[in-house]
Amino acid sequence: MDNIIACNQLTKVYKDKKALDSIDLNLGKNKLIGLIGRNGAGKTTFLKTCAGYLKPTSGSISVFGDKPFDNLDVLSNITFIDEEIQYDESLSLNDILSLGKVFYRNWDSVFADKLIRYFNLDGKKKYKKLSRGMKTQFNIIMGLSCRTPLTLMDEPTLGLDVAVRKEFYNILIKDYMENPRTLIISSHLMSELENMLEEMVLIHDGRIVFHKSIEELQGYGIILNGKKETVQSFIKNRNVFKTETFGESLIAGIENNLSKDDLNYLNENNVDISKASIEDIYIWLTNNGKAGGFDDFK
Amino acid sequence: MKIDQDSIKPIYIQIAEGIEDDILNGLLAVDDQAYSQYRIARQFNINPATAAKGINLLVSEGILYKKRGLGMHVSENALNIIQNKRKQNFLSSLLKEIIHEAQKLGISREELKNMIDSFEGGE
Repeated sequence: MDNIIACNQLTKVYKDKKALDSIDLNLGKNKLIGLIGRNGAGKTTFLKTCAGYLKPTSGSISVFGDKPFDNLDVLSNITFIDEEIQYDESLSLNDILSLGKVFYRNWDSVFADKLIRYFNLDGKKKYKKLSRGMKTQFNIIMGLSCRTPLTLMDEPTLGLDVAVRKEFYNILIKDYMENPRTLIISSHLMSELENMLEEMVLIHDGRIVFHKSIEELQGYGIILNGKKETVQSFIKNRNVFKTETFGESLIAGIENNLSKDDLNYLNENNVDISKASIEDIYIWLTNNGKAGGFDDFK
Repeated sequence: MKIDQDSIKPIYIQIAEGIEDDILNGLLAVDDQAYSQYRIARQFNINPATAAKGINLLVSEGILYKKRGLGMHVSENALNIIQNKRKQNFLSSLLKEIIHEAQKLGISREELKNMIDSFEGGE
């Protein structure tokens, strides 16, 4: 499998904080990949390092086999969109779109125009005059129309209502199928996104907690709910993420490696088995006494 | 076909079972073209690789077959294969569940049999 991104002990230190801590990670070609993590976990730093905006403090990162920092060859193949994008105040949407056409080899004007109409944006309007949601929509249009082999989207759905988000997902999956490329999307709305993705990467405290296929993650954890003694003795010597008592019952989130016999045993002893969502697993694995929280506004 | 986000069943299995259901219910007949991976991916906003995995599962079981350049189609034996497979599942899990629930409710085997015999609907 071709790797588009290869990180080796990648570390980025800001003044007093390790934002990325010895990351070893390889990401493959033409995949839709989700990047999750709590605020300040290092997601944005990671994406910006991939996009060549930031220089690693130590270790290395290569994108398309080259160092991305300050490297125009690499940069013309990467798009990075986030909430912080600034355009010159005098520029209208149409102006910005025509700049995209100049800069990106694979720019798709027809697609961009179609999206502008679909989202009811006025091309003559100045970018700075747009509402938050409209800016987000426009950033999505820029991000997709570039058609770069590597597209990085940092919280692309911030400020969008659920209807527009669904439209975005639908456009994204269709566009990805018609124009396969690597898309890395960070989002706090995992449950909305997860089925579209092939893989997910969880960053916590600047480290990679996991990098797994969605299928693996969706089967990774289960929740048992049954009589206290039964569940307690069953989960002994198992990988337990979380337990919670509710009256006389015990609810336990554990790693899912149950055999057929285990399942039969649980069924016969009236222990209810349900799926742990990726969100559950994410919370279990990152809940080290820290307050989690507000979305990634800066 | 529908996707249940909360099910323990992996999405690709749900896709495969959804297609099987449509074959069982007669929505897809022998030699009909089944839904393409792209059609399924768009309909449910799921990764095309996942959709493909579900379809390929049915191909490996002989329920769907590939027509060159024309996508996947329903095999002649599809109905048979699905029914046999589901019967196994019916015995090993559904029936077991019913009996287990009956025990919890204090319904005897005899009573349960009578309930089935006198159940209206079906055949």
